[in-house]
Amino acid sequence: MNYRFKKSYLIDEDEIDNFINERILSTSHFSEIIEIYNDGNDALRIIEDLCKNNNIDELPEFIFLDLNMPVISGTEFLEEFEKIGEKYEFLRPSTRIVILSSSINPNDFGKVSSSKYVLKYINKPLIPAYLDALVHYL
Amino acid sequence: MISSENLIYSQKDEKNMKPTEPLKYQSVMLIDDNEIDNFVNKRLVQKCLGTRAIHSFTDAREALLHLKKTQSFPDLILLDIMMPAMDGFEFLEQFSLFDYEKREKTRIIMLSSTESFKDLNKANCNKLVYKFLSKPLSQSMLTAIL
Repeated sequence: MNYRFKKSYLIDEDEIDNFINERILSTSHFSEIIEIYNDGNDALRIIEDLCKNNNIDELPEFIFLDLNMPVISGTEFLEEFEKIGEKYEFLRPSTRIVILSSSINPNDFGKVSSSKYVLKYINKPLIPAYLDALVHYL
Repeated sequence: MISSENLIYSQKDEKNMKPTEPLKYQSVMLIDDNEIDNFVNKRLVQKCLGTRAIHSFTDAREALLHLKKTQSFPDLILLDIMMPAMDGFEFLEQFSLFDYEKREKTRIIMLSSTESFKDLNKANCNKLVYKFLSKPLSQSMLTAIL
């Protein structure tokens, strides 16, 4: 069976969540390559490098982003990501962000859902049905 | 209360708005049992998306009847969840029965004021829902879907 997408990033500091979500993404044939980052800064650096070198094919199609993280929070990551997206216009059509959070704080929800880079806000845990609904509009 | 003066000023502003790129959402349908919400959302859609053809319905069943009669489906539907006669999810069930070719281009955005994550999870499972937003709708939320 073919994978629906080539590459996804998982950005979460929680090893157990990462382990489970990676399994779900691969067993539901969502993404062929899954790269895991415990620190959002690492992911940002790589994305900026890829953009600088015009490596559009190497960009991930999806970024699954946790909000509550120690070094750089999900909202901070999003702000930095938006800055890169303003510089390189091809970033928005090629990479989409899905928020994967256990936060039930409506402030978090309102803040991130007004970003044009965020496709959906998913409340943890991730289940395969969410992934099916996610790809419908692409 | 919005004074009539304010209304006149904002109408002037709209006329002064520069024409931008071709409209992404030519026609929009608003479904909400609260008429004030519909009014505010209508103004927001006019301002942010530039859409002129906006149909508002206070009853989801009427909206369905309209869709049955019409040939051209709207490009965007803003759908409230909590409504008395037929709620947002029931509307979605009925909407999925239309021909795929007809409803293909229609994007549905669900609006919720309940901040209930049960609704969010339910909406995330539904293929018809493009996005889930919490009320009140803001300019930045609407421009994010462009």
